[in-house]
Amino acid sequence: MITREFDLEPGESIVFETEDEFYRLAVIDIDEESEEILVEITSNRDLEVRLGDRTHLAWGMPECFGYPRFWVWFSLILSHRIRHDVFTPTYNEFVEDYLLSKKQAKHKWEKRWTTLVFQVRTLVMIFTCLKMQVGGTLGYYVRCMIAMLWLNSWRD
Amino acid sequence: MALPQITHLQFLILDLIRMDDHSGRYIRERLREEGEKKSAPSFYQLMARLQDGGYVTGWYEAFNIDGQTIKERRYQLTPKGRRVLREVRKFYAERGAESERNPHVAVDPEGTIS
Repeated sequence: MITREFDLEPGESIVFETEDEFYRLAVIDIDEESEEILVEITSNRDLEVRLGDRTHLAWGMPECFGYPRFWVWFSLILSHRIRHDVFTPTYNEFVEDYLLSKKQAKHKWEKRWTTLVFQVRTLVMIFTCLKMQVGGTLGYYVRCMIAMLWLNSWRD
Repeated sequence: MALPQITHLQFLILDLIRMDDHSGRYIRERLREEGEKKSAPSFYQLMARLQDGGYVTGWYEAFNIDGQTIKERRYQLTPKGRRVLREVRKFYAERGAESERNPHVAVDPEGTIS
């Protein structure tokens, strides 16, 4: 194992890149009072970080098989930010609910009902994520247009 | 004294996680108990904003249901979040003390300030 040392101040980061992977380690804050260092690790792949007896994961898509795996396809049309900040944690909660409900459903009609309910919930989740994405993009263009109009009127 | 940098809802969230780290689901349930209903996507967007501001930090913890690995989002207060929480508390404590000291400011039973 190769060990290297880096001196990082808050706000600075180091990036490790290979052909298809990247890992970014950023120092967010250092609190000298409580002797805490806040570090953010970003990765495009699952990355396990072990600190003492706790394991942290840098990326959070569930390893799904069966029906829930189709929901992941939907996330491809979302921007990286919405996918990372909104879709992934929501999706994890969603899959957990689905698996627990499916476990409780014993009869055939109960299983069908569970699937139907989760299909409706999927649509609601898709609609909400899209609304956020469109709202974010539209909001950005509206802000840019207002800024441009204001700049033009100021120049005149 | 400067006005608080965070909203009431953000304050409530920071206060909920001030002692220990909690899952997103737990925080959302506690918010619901406080009468603040939020859908999962809008809640996580709110948490992402708090994270962008450096007030909280989030990570995933894995567990297993029926052979499928589920990753639960957990949040913890950062040193900056703790500082802001202290400042907001101090701000309202000082304002409260000021209101009690000042006899010209009175609140009538309907809640309006005169």
